[in-house]
Amino acid sequence: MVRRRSCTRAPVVSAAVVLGILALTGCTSLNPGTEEATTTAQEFHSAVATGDGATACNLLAPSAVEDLEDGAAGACADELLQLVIPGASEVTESKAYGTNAQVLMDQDTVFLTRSGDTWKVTAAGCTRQGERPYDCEVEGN
Amino acid sequence: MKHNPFITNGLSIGFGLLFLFSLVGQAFSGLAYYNEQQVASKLDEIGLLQYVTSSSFVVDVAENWQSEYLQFTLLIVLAVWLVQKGSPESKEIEKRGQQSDKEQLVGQFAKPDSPKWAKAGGWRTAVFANSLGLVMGAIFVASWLVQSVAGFSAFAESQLANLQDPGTWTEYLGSPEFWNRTLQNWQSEFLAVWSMVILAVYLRQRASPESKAVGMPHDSTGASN
Repeated sequence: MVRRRSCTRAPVVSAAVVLGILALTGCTSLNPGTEEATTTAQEFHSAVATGDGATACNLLAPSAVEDLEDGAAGACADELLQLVIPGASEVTESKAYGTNAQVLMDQDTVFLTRSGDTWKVTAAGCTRQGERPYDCEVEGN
Repeated sequence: MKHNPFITNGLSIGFGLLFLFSLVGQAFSGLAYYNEQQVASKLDEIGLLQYVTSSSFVVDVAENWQSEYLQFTLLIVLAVWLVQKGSPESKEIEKRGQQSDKEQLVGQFAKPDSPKWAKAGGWRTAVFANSLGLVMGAIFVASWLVQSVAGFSAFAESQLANLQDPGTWTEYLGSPEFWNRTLQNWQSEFLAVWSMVILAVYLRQRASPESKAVGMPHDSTGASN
């Protein structure tokens, strides 16, 4: 029997090509780029540097706020300003993958997570520990 | 006799629908799982479109695709030379190898209704004669590449969530994560082919072209319904 293999392969090939292009170009909606993350990290450091704890806390992820307040609701700003977070203003490199980002600054490394349309700081005042997770002054779970 | 196209294309339609239902099911269940984690972290939930274009969804799809296409590519190509006595997945023992042009109906031995490139000779016949393996192999390579890129993105995302450096794509290619994802799929595909090749020697599925006829002897090689 002659088996005709017509165009049944075409949709599979097309789907693979589309999937490949999407992944290779990083053209996914969860990879929104690093500019907004960089801006948030700079705004956070600027707020801390000027003693504006309320603004800095607004830029933190809920888990980081909870960690700072430790049950004392509303204590975020005071607790945050008591921490020794190195002053940083210059950004040397930013990386964003999916819903997480890392902003390397002159005196600090900031980690962020995307929630809705905005980036929130999950960790700041971080020191590199080799292969192990960074040791951070502010850190959400 | 002319048949209804839904009958003459039953296999491709059936498996095409099974594929689509499974992929849609994977998208919805994956989204639900992803959002469970978002809620646990007190973060906003994401929508379906955002999820299906995320690296975590793409890598889950691509890692399964690449292993399936590798499985079929190897079976198609290796079965030219490797045979299995009694298996309907194998050709007859004496026919191993590329076989003659006469047996393969190419060039001067092509029939009037043979495909054009089977008659053409030269590079066109050479390409057409290996086109199934080439296309399946190309889809395998493309899927594996997509897996590596999307896998790196998903891996880097989890690294950042754990407050670790994300690393680079080339580092990811040598990472245990990449090879664990790859090999756990490969081993299952190779086991499935091995089982099929051996079990079909002794077991039957009445009227299936993947099986010998029920009454065929166990040592009959290359026979099918």
